[in-house]
Amino acid sequence: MHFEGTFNVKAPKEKVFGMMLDPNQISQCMPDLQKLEVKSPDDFTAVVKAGVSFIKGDFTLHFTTVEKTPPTHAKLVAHGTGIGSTVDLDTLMDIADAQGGGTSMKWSADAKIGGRIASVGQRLLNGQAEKIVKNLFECLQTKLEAA
Amino acid sequence: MATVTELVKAEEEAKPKLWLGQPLKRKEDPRLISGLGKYVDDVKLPGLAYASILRSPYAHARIKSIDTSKAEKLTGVLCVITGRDVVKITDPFLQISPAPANKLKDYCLAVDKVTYVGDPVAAVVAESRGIAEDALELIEVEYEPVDHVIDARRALEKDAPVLHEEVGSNLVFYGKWDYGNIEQAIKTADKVVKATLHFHRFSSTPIENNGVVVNYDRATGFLNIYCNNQMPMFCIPWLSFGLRFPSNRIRMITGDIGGGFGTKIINYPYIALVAILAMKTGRPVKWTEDRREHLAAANHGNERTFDVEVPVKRDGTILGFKLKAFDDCGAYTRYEPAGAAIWAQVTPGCYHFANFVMEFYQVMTNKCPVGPNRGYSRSQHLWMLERSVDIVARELGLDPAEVRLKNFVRPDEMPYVTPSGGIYDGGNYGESLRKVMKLIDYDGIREEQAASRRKGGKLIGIGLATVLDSGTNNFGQVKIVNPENPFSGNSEAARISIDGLGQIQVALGTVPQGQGHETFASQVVADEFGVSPDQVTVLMGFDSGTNPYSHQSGSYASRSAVMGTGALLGAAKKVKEKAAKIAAHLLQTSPEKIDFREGAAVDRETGKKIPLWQIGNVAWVNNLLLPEGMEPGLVAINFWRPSFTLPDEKWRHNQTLTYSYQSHAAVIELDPESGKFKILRYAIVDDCGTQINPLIVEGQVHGAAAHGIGAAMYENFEYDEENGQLKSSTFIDYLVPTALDIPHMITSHIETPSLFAPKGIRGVGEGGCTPVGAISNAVEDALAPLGIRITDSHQNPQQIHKLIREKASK
Repeated sequence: MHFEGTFNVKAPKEKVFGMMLDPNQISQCMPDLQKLEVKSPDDFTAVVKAGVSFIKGDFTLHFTTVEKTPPTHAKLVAHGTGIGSTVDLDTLMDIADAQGGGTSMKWSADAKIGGRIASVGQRLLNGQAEKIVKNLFECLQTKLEAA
Repeated sequence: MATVTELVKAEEEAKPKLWLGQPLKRKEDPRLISGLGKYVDDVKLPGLAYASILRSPYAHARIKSIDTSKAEKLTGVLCVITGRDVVKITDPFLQISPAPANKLKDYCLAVDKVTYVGDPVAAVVAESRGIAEDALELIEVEYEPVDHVIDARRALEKDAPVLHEEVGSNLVFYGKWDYGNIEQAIKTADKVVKATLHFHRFSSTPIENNGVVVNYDRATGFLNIYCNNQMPMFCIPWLSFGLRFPSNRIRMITGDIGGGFGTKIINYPYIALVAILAMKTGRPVKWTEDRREHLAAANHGNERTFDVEVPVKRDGTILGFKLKAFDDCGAYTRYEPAGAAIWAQVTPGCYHFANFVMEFYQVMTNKCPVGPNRGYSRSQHLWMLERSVDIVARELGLDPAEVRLKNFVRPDEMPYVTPSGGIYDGGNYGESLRKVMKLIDYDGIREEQAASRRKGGKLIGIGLATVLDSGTNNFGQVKIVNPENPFSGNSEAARISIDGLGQIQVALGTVPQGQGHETFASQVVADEFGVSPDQVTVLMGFDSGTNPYSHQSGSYASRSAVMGTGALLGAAKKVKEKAAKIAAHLLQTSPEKIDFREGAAVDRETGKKIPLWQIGNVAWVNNLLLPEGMEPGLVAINFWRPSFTLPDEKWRHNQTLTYSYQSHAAVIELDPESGKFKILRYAIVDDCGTQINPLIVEGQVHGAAAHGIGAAMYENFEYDEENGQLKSSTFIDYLVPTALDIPHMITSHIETPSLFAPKGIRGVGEGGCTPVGAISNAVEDALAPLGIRITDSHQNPQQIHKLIREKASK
């Protein structure tokens, strides 16, 4: 599954980049966060409650930053397991100056879901995954604008 | 003076009334419909513990590590095992494939890699099923996903991911069948019709899933296995060698089985797994498969693509078939590659062409392992033939019925020898087709169709198919895939006893899964002894501790009626010979004068009789009245085998004993706006030779039709190209037709007795997936004005809609 989006925000590139890669900020935008363990900004684990339809449960997601070019580019990968399912998520972020001031943030996410959720929730999976990913980035956008 | 009519009537009435052919209600049904059926999940033993299985969420991945420590600490968990443990105490399962495919290491749990979504990775035993399931969540597996392959042709390419490195490639078997002179036929043809056809992946969905209870009895050293495998004694070598457990201490027990349809043949890895768990924990262990596990990891039917070339004459004569087939057998070969040779049971279908070439590739992919599924390997081949014949008709501008009638094997050609040595045992394909066309009013519907086409709107389509249901297989056919395979012929066992009170008891080796064995056996035996079926008790289920059996015993390949009857008649003969000698001795006459009727041995000449109870009494407890030198007792076991031969150097041999056949006609109405269609009329003509019980036959015909309609319109296992996930592993997505989805079916029968089977009966359990042919033909017929070609066995509205759009945009 592939999702992507762009948003503009009135904040400098460095601030945007900083927030996008701050585990504490990102985790606040995850669905129903249960626990956060930060080893370093580039290596953290979050336990979230998520699911599709009647199959909900705890997912343990381990995030690693694999590419980092402040303040313009980053790639974050996450691998998670829970309720007999697996999640593999690759997210790319590209930050640039926006026309007319502010910053333009372009993001994309590739998600591979396997196991129980993939087979039972197949029909609903796309919609639900898109919702979660979009909510994540919208939440981050809101935080940036508020700051 | 009596008239001819009166004489004929008197002769009819004098004939003993036979139970064979009577539509008796089944003996099994009262217990089955009142909740008294005894299924494997009903087995309760003191100290029973419960197993659960952790399965791979990836289509193809290396297992880097498994940490079971947290699971083991959960209260109520008795043990947790992984492939690492299994590899130490078991040997890989036997393979029937040739080298190098037979190097495949198949254990009951994945060891270094997982090769399909659902592949078992670890197993837990706990005090309750709930705890066992909870423990699965605590097992931490680190996977390294690798590239997967879910297409058979792709899996053969040099750079395709290889599933089992020890095999070296994904090729299981390649074979070329070459009969007659197809190249000459192609040269002399008026036209060569070509098509690429795809038979989709689906399975049967028995109401009862797989289940096993194993109790290792340390006192006797016996491994007691309660299961619902369809041929438990055939599994013995797989279990005995795999578990390193002596076969003379393994007991296999089956009770009532909630449907098998072939899908409960390759469940021996699960039996082995539960046996290991039972021996390890010292407790009886039960595993009951849930539906999602069953749909993902139990048994899928063969998925096969054909490249077809048919040389034909302008008048519709088919000169032969030239074929290349790619069979996708999933991640493990557990009965495969038998399927790679089994289609040759019906090489030319119902048609008498002599030129035939088949190049057959069987290939592994990252999907559920394939095993026998109702109509095993023949359905795919026969659908290809029926679809091709319609395409031939269309390209030549001829009526598909006319092309069939022109090319059918004729009754005067019976017994017909096919190019691959199959010997068809009689039948009138033309009559069955004409009859089914009459049942749906073929001419009338064609007129309606023409009128409807002139008007526009919904599209009417008519589809015909005549398909064989070959039964009672010759295991020698597996020597085609590997000449070293130590299997051939077929055999079944039966025991009949008349006890000291004259009561008849029967035990069979066939393993019923709802086919009514107790009923048909009672009818056959009742006729032999002149009693009523109510007076014959047939043991229910199968138990190797009490039933006679051969290692080929079971219910599969539409063979139980034929094999069971053969074994029963032989046992009855032995018992009757002895009983007649005893009766003759008591009546002071000769055994040749004795008939059995009305529960007694009767001297044909004097009318004097000895009731069965008296014969039983003398045989068992009053033996000083026996003839001089006669052994006491009145019981016989009989092993029966049909007459078969081994394949010759060109693989020619008769691969099955009987060839039932059905003609189906489907009339559909298709809405081009949505791609949806509904069945307006459906008719079936069936010939399974002499019918033992017409009610049971009717049930099988209806069941096979529902099964085929399900496959044609609803059931399809779809795998996601991107990540190899099974998209249809619950009934939300894998649509099983309900009673509301199956149309009313008009059925009729022809009875041409089999030339080779006892009493002329033929196996009727599978049906050959005839509706898949009839419906794909009806859909193409409906879309004919748009010039659309149907090349898939599965029809769904989205696909049809897509085809219509694509054609419109050209």
